[in-house]
Amino acid sequence: MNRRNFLAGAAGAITFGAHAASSAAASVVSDSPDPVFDAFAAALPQHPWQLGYEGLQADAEPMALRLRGKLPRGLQGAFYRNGPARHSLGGVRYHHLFDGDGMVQKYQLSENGIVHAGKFVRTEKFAADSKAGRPVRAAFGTIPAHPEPMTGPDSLNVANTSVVKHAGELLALWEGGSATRIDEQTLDTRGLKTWTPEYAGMPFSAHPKIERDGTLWNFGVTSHLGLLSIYRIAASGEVLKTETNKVRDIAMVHDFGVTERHLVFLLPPLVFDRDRARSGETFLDSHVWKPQLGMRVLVLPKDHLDQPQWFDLPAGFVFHIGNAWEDSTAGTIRLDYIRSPDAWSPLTGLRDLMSGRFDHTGHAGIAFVGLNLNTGRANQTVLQHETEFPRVDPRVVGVKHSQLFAAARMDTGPRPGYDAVMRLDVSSGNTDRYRYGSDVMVEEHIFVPRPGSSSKEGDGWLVGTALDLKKKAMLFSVFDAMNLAQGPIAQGTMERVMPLGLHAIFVPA
Amino acid sequence: MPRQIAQTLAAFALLACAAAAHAFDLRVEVINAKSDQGKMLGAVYASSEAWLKDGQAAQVGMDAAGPKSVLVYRNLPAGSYGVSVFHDENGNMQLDRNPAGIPIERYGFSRDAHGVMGPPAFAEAMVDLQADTTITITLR
Repeated sequence: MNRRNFLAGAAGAITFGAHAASSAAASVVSDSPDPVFDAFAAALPQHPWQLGYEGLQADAEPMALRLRGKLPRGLQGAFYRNGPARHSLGGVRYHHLFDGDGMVQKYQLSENGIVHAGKFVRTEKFAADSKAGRPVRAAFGTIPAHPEPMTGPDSLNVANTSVVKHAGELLALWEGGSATRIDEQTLDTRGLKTWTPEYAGMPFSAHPKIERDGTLWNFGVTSHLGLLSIYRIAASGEVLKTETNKVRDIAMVHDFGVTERHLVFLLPPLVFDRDRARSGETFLDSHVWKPQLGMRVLVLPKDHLDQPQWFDLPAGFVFHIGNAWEDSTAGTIRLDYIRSPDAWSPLTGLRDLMSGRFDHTGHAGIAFVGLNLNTGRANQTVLQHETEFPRVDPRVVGVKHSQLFAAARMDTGPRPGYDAVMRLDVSSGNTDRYRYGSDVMVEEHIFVPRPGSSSKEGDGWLVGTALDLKKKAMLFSVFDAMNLAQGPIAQGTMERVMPLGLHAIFVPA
Repeated sequence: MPRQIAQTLAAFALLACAAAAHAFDLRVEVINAKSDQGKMLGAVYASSEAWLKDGQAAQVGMDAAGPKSVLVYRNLPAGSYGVSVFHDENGNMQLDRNPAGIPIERYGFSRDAHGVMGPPAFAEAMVDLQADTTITITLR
């Protein structure tokens, strides 16, 4: 279906790209008191881990870290992390981890050490909620009492998922609406990013991929219309292509893979149901688990986005893909992703956290997939490493990689999250791990290439943050990426707690 | 829209000839345009049955876009009306939308009514016209 058809189809009425905003469903906040707010507060004294999900009400003013060890020469620049950071407002607490307003944090690394600061993204929703003193706009997993009407997805945009720097612009990303422009020095919000006038307000996912030549690819899902939009943007920022196509039984899709010739989408059977949305369910609860669909794989040739090839994998859930590449000799696309047997994590686990509950994890493992383009067959093997936030050296995005980095769960005890970082040699299956300890909640760590290095994969550092629950401090650690087990070669400590975030990038000075 | 305008202008001409004693002017001031490019287009509807339906407007209006555009609907019989307006920035006579159907030009309704999953109902935008009346619509 081409764009013109969509326009004709939508021309009858002003249709809006998100869910209904009035209902008596379970995720609608009652006026008072708020049981989620109360449950979290009641459980907090017993669960130190809840510190990571308590959230903030104000920006974090600049603060220097105390540094142990020495920052490597060459590791200078800014580490940015985004994540939901305002989980409650006016005694009302969101019901899902993904609901809260985004805060972009910056750890500035220089000869003088490390300085941290964080600022909430001033979205339209942030302003409206702040003015009202309570949430008045719907969120991913929560509909507030007496919600305000909306004019489109950006009315609900919390810009809380990731950041990207491209063509000189720093963008805070959500996945249901526009990217938001951020000043990379001050972290001030500069307004929504409009790629083309025609695509104003279209969803732009939180997982764009940047190829070695600087080309940025991204996608966006318009759930209620079953649309998948693709963006191809040159290193200069010039928009080379936008295209929107219809996908049957569109799923919750958070990430994708990009190879030299293809875009690869894993569609877990968590499928959008328009009737549920119309009945007033939250966006999350408008999705239905339909394992009979399996995990569908959609492969689009970069030059023929309208010529999909489909593959089937066993039913399962995925947020993140590590990397995908073209094994030309075998006519096969290879990729790895973090796989859970079902959607327990988004539907239950990440919701429970907001009430201070933790029972078990989503049992994620690392899956390796081959998609044979000639036979249409897919194969998959799964390694039982409980991990998340898979990352590769940015120099191998879209081409063959040998090292996969991730946050790992080794011996956390009864609490959510990760206590270690891991490097997996994907050819041998060997692992190299560093365990921070049970009292440390590990966030995503990212690979930073050593400047001027041989461009050999893995030549660089793994950097990332973690929350030390005992010290009530944030740790910023730098590892030799090929030797995690020896521990951080430098580590900064900051005695304040920041909300556990999602994705990070490093922008060299 | 051009066809609709033609039809409505024809209807307007007939109505004007038969202007009743109890006919009033509805003056609509439109603010919050993003630019002064293009035109401000509006339509007034006389019933919920006609509301926002193609070719069913009682009258349509047009003014230059600017900080305040004014659309005047004259000689309307006393009764209930709803007004929709949009800022046709690129002059193509339609409310442009992105591929997901979200308007990418600014628009508004009388009483600044909002819809939830679409445009507001007639009742929410309804203005009772029993005298010459001026209303303001804030575009969004």
